[in-house]
Amino acid sequence: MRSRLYLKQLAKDLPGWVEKGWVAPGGDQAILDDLRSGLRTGNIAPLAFGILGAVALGAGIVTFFAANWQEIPKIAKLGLLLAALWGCFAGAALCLRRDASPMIGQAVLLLAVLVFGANIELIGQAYHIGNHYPDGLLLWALGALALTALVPSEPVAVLGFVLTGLWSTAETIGFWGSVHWPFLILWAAFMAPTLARRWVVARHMGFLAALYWCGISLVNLHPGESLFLEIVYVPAAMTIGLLGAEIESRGAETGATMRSYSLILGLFALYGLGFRLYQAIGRIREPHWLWIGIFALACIAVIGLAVFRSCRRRARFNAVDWTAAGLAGLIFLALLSTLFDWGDLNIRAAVFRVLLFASALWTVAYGYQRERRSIVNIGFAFFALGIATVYVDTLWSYMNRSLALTGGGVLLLVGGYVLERQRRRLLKDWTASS
Amino acid sequence: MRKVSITARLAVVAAAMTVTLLVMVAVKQYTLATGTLVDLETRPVDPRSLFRGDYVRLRYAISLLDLKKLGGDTDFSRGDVIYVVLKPGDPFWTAVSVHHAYPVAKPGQVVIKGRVGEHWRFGGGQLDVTYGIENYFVPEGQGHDLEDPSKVGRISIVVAVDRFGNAGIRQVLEDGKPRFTESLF
Repeated sequence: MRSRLYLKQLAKDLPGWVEKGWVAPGGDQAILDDLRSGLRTGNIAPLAFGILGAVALGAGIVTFFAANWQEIPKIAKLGLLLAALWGCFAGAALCLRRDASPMIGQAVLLLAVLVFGANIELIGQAYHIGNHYPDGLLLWALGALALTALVPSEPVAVLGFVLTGLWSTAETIGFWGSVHWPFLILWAAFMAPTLARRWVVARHMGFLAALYWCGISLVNLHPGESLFLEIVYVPAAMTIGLLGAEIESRGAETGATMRSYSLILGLFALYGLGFRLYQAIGRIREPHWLWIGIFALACIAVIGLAVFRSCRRRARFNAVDWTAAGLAGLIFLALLSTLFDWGDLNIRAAVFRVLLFASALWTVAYGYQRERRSIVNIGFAFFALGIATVYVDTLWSYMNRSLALTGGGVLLLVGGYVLERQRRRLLKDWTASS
Repeated sequence: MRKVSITARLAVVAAAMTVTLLVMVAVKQYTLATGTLVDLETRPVDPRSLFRGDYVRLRYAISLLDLKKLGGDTDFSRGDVIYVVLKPGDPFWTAVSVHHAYPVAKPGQVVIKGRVGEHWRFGGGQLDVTYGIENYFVPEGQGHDLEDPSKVGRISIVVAVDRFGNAGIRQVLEDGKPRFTESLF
């Protein structure tokens, strides 16, 4: 999807290109017309207001039932709840048929899914259905999935990713006791229409949900298990990043999104590994995780190598690419070393801190090279996080508490100022050069 | 291929959602209609509701199982689905054994399906189990009454357990007399 900003820039540049003879006279207008026709037409205000209205109306329906709950016979409650659901669908059909009012129609579809969720809860109350409560969230998410796939609807897909995350959280925290792998099935089911239809907001929500799941999966595990899971995250992030670069080189915007989120996952995992080492060493209760870790590392290494070779065939490597390859090799060796018992724990944790800083700096350089503001920001954010953590890890132990706090405050202020200044300078240079 | 209209597709989804909701009700009604009635000793705790009214959170004598006193399997993990064999007692039913798979119960006994909340391994092992009968919604203002022994008599619960082990609350008894009875309407 071309942005209006890009179109505006092009409208400024094209007259100059016509003058230089790069574009034939009249071709500039044809280019602009073609791009304008590909732009999303219409105002998104109706959708935004519609979604707000849908949420308010959904809350109103639930409140109405709540206020009159005792006076309504059970069977009438059931009838009213189903009537509300069918009313939403009828409204959506009216709006979406022959594109009468597509944006409001999407908002009403969202309302239908919210009402479906409220129905599950309220029927559960009326009939005292209390079986395994995450199943209610799963049912709700499956309803959203049916609508996403059949109708289709991007706002419902966004809600679907939220519900998938909530379902997985309820299972993980309350019952599962391990990594909640079924999340991936439902997530993939929502991701398929999202990618096929090139929904931008849903795509970002999907990757955010996946990142959230990676984080929540660590919460419930024994430290030994979470160490291995984080070990797997790093090469998994590298592989996803490489695949993203490959997909992006073929012109798909999904590739850029994959790359950005894989960087967050990889840097987050590198950041966490320093802590996990302390918690996990010598307390690994489930040895099968060791083999899962080794197996996953081997698989991901093979996939990564294949993608790496494929990328290399496409274009000549520059300094940033070669640095990435070297860094990936070092990270891989550091990860392998965590599977064996050696040396001082502080040094082993420090290795991961150094790798975090190196990776964050590489991320900034990469974002700068690719002219991706979001990637530059990710690199700076993790660099700042690393600095703050090293400060707390080390100086806090050796300094007077008030001195440490004062020093920390000064470091945060000065460090934040310097990093922000550096970030702005980089982005300014890049804007000027482009 | 003929393109299906948006109205038809929406109708399919609405119908699927409706069937799902009705199946939820039907399954519960099946349990209540066909299940064996079992009296369980209970203690109401913490009545409140997120959306409306009150609900009573219930704990049962069989919510905490002492594995060293029971037959069946011994090794369980959090989240496991389990089957508990109950036998009639005076006045309440009690647990006999606990299993990973649906067991063959003796005549007069009932098998109820539950899920392990925690498995404490000390002292021979204890299981914290939920059966899907831990919440009961009551008219607003009555939840706290049920919790307060000075306002009500002894509360017990009659649960219907169907042949698959699913359970549903059939009646809430106060001093052995029905205070709330479940029905479809």
